[in-house]
Amino acid sequence: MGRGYNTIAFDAAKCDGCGDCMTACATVKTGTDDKARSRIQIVGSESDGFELALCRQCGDPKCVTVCPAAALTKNYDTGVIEWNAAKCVDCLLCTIGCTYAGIALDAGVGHVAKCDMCYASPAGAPACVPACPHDALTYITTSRIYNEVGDWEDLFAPGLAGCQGCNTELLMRHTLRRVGPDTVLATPPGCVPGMGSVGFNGTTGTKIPVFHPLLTNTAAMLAGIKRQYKRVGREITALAIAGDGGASDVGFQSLSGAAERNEQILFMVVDNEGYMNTGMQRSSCTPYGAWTSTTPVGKGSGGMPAQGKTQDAKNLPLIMVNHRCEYVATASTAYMEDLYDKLDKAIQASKRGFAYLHVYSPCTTGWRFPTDQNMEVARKAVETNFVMLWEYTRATACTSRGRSMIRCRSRSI
Amino acid sequence: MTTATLDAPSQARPAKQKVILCEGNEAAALGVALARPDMVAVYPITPQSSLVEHVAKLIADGRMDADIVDAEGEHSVLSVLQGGALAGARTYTATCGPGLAFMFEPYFRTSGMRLPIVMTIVTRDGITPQSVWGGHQDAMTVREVGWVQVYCETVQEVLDTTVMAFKIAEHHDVMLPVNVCLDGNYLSYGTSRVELPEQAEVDAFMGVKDVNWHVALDPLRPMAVDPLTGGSGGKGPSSFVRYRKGQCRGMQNSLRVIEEVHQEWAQRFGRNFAPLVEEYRLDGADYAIMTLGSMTGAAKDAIDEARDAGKRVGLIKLKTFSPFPVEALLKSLRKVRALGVVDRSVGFRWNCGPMYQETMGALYRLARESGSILPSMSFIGGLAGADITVGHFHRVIEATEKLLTGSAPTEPVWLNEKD
Amino acid sequence: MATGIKPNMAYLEGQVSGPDKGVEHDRGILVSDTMQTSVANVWAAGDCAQAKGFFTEARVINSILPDATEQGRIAGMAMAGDPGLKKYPGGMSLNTYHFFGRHAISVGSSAVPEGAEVVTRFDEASGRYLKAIFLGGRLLGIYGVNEFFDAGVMCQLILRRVDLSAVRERFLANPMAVGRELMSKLWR
Repeated sequence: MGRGYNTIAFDAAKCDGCGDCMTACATVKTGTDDKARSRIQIVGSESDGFELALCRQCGDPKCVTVCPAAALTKNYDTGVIEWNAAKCVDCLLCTIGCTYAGIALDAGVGHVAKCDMCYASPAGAPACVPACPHDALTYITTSRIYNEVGDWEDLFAPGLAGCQGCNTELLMRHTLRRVGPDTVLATPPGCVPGMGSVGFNGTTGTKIPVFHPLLTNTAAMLAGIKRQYKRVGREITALAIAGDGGASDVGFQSLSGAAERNEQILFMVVDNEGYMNTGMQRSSCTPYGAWTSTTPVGKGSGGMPAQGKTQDAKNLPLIMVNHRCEYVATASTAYMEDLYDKLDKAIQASKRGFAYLHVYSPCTTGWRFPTDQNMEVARKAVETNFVMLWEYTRATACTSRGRSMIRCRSRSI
Repeated sequence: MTTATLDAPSQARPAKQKVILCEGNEAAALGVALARPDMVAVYPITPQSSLVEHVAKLIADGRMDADIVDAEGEHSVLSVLQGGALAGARTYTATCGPGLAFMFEPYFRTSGMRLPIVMTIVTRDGITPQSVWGGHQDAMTVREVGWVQVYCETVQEVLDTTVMAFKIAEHHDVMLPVNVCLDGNYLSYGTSRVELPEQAEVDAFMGVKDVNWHVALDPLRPMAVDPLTGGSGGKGPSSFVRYRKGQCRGMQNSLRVIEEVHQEWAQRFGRNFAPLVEEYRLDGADYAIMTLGSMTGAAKDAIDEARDAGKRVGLIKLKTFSPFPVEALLKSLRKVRALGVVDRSVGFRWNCGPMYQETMGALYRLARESGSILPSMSFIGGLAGADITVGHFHRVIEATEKLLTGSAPTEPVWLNEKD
Repeated sequence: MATGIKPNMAYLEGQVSGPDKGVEHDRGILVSDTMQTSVANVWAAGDCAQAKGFFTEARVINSILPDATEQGRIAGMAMAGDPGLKKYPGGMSLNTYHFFGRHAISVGSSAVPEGAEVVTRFDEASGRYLKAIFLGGRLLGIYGVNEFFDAGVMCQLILRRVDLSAVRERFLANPMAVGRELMSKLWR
């Protein structure tokens, strides 16, 4: 299995072209503040948008293959394409090989120069990223998850039958890999069993014990399972992957009861803001103004147009905080490192008591956006503060990691 | 009030049986303790409350080693137990009336998943007109959902049947949940002399616990429990039919198992309860009345008095109501020429008592066999805590006797209508 | 000073050129756009190969290292039956030089076909020289002396036939920045 590497991500929408990243790079790499000598180059303009010339640390780098002196090599531990000054013959063929101007002549010294992700620096991380005042640059270290989790057994068979572009399959696979095989999984009626978690007529997509609880009794059934294994001295994780409707509406009583009793359960709610599996009906987690098939938009009657749901969403995770659970957190598949961090904490907390994880999950089918946009919609939901990522423990109460919001740019005419 | 009558001991009994005085709810709790469940889930409701209080106290006092879950409602009570059972626990709870109605969703599912959960129904009338008093309406309402349902006559029978219920439920040929029905007010609070079996004797009777060999949520033997089944294509119809037919087979098997377990109980503990159908002074009877539950005590007194007065009347009592013990009942029905059936609840669809309605099915079998129809009628009494007295049963006997010579009324007789 | 490379074809002399008769060759070994020679199971790549040009269907010897590595990769993938194989787009002239303190870059074709437009600018003071050839908004070739642009980026703009009509003036003013900007956009 291939390895994943850390990378520098650029969000053009957040960049204002200030050049602080270039200054930071030039300072670290050349000891000057000459932006032209920076390994990262921001190009473009306010009117046309800003763009980036930076080594992509390609998996199959052409700069390396064209080098006649073997001065460039791909380091398969770090992923960085390393340049060896002692071997370089200054032929510049590498600059012909690169599509993105990731390696270019540093006219100041007459040699090529390229980004090495500052791996050798004391920080071990790129200097440009923290220099950006707008979070347009992000140092993505999610590859850690890929490298670590990728080798663990996928506890779902290939080919779960989710809708195109749905992120819940991703969530299920990651969660199960992390929680591991000593787990009993409850998937109450909804999208998750709809994908085949429990299966149909004798076939199943799951390699661990799995069942349909009723929509109404997920937490109660898991409580019984966990208690009996505890009684006989066996360590298992009682895990629910439930939808928002079952958890916030008809299953809320059993959820609340189990949380109040501090049952040792890891309860994950996949919040796609409605009963999507049955055809996008309104749930109490549907937000204000949202179209659903039971809160449609129309001309209405008596002069009152129908404008979707007329109430705010129930804030289920906050309600769970008021049960004083061992752990409560909200997460998003657009922030996998954060999700993994919270999942780890939730797993640990579920050994002591009730752990609740609320994952915001855009629904390509129900929300009717293009199927390749799920992660982007999930990310935007967080960046715009439409949903908030936070966590609660009894010791810390509610905390949220600082995260800059998307910048709304006003354009002069 | 109906007097609980103890059966005369028919066999040499084991020496060590402590005699105590207790109410039916406590007897049920003691029976539960003797059966050593792993998990008990409780939610209070009149007239069941003192039962779960007794269970909680037994656990708190260290006289019972079970995990007790104070759930937030009956729906979760049964759901917690389903989880426990799927993880291998022997499980128990009790409820009635509105609580039973609230737990209907998981209740229906328990039999479908073949989980051998034992649940006492301390029967209660209602739900509306509002009533907190006894009556069989709750248990009768759920009679078609695949649980084995047995009704007790006495406080001693409550204790003994509660223990036996676990063995019946967990029998590999049955694997179905069992309701032990005891009459709210009359048995729940009725105090009586009770013989308490020794724990070691009961342990020997119960044998090795093995409740989830057939369906489990266990990482050591992973399986998908209750996948979607049915539909009109592929293996759908056949797999669904296979499940349902298995349930029906389990129900039918339970009739034999109930008899076997009662026999073994009698051998070990010296108390002989009719497992399916009890006959009382039926030999030489021209006609019979039919009863269920605690009302039978008063009915037997009335039969004794009627016999003394020269009336050729006997009594048939059902203990097992679900599955309906039609073969056993037919043996008794063949002995008489008229039948009056007394119900403690109503069957809304047929304008008669539910037991009467079920018995009509047996009477059809009898008619096919004999070529003639046994005249019968329905009596409804004891609703919402009302007493069915010896006097009421004399009215039942007189009306049933008239069936021998006249035509059968189509309307039921409401015994407490003018009380 | 010398230019050009001539493959040694002597070892193929005496063969009868033609199908099933030997390896077809001209000034170099003639290959298809998957680097296969006229003989089954024989491939050729690099300085010895005469493959199609990017600007012409006629087969040319394009003896530069980037082409050699590209051809070698294609030949290898073809031998292995790799389903990811993409056909050779055709050779293109590419070079970078350091001569006499000047830095020169040439990418693409210097030929000026009918309808093409040649733009040059020269700044005597700095010695900066730029020549670009466009056809229908698309770049055919670009040459610079002391004009620092990225040869790899220009190569891709030509190979991908990127329409530069909308950015032409900006591009000519600053080919390095605008070229990088375009490739960055294409990447996203």
